Amino acid sequence: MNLDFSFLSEHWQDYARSAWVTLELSFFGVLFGTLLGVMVALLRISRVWPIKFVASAYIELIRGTPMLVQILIIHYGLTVIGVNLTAFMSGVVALTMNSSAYMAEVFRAGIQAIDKGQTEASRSLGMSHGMTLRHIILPQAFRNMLPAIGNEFIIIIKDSSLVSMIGIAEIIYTARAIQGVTFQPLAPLLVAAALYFVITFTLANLLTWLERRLSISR
Amino acid sequence: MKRVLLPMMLLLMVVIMSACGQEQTTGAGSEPSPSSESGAAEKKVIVLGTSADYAPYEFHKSINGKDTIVGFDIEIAKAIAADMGAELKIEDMDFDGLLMALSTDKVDFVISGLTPTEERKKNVDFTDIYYYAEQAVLVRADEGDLISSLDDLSGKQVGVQKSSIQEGIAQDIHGAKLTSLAKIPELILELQTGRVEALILEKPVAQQYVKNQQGLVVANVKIEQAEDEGGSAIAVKKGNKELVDQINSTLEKLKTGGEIERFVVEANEMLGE
Repeated sequence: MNLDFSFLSEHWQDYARSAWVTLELSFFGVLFGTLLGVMVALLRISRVWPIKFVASAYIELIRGTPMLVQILIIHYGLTVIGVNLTAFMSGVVALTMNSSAYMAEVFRAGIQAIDKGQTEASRSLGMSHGMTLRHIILPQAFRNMLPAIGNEFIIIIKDSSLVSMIGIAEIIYTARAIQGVTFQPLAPLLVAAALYFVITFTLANLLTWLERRLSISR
Repeated sequence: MKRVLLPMMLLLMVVIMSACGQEQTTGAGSEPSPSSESGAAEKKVIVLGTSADYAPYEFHKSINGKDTIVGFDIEIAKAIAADMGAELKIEDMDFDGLLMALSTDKVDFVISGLTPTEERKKNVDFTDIYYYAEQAVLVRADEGDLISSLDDLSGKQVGVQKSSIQEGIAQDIHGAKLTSLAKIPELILELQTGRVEALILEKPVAQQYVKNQQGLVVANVKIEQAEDEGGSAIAVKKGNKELVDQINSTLEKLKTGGEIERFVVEANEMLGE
């Protein structure tokens, strides 16, 4: 094995660009995933059983199938019914669906962890069910859920490597392209791994800092 | 919560707007062509599907700091687009996904060193053959003398690219055990780490690895192939005869002008840079 990293002088820009694409994918995936996840979680704790059933089925289906299969079905399968998404959109949709299912469970746990007394108190103050959720329950739940949301963000960053399959120029795709040009099988992958680590490690520290900031208000 | 959500939604809108506005620097042109915005007579767009990890056929190269897909397949695609008066857009994806992308209208045609096998002909239509490549067996340097014919690979672990023509060749070797992977660099690692004994690759590709990696040689094996095997052709969606004829006329022109040989030489030179 002869490791040679000289390709970096020519290809570092490709890596930088691809890191940005990975961050974009993850950002949108987590953002939409969080919003969708909140909705699914609220449906999941609804007292109307058909709604509850649909939400549960969605969560179980997404959690029970591999991400790679979901990506391929969204990108290639949807054209059958006339939906032709660009590769980037397919990637965002797949990451969104995937993270929304996991997020929904995080939210459900977070909401149910809030003391029942809080609900009872706000209801007896005359707030409606929706108002109680919006003003009393969710703000408290959200703060408790931050660590879990941060974890999900990091998981999505790592999972986004799977969308290289459908031709989005994120980090792994770029590493593979460089493998093909330089005929170096291992070195480009090591650079990709380092890049992922830098991103996730930075993010993890940022999240720790954010948690500390938010916990002061307790 | 409300105070958090509204600015977040606004921010989201802004980001999406800006994301749609900028040209993605993906290898695949992931943006749809803005057909509604250009009021002028717009150029027809033809989309090429390829798997750009197969130098010298198609590979990525930094040209003036911009990531570009190059190779002799790409030059041929450019000539085809020029003859149609269309603009060429390149979608880069996994080799496995190419034919799927063709049948689901993600791409208009596929050039990726594809060999027109009987099995593939069931699902897509092929043009004439534009390039004929020899196959080679790549082994570790210290075992170069052990392999002198395909039969010597019997009982050994052989690495090939998944859904490639080489996979078919390896399957015909009696008693050979296959390792089929999507990407060639991964196969090279398998060979170097001793998990497979030999790889079957196209000769130009194998020779590049011998040049760039220490300790590999092309074994002295002649692989006999029928005329319709090992040749590369261009795939289009089944039933699109018009496009096949159109591409064939371009190929004919390139072949008689000796252009294709020139493209191959140029692509190999690009790799050496």
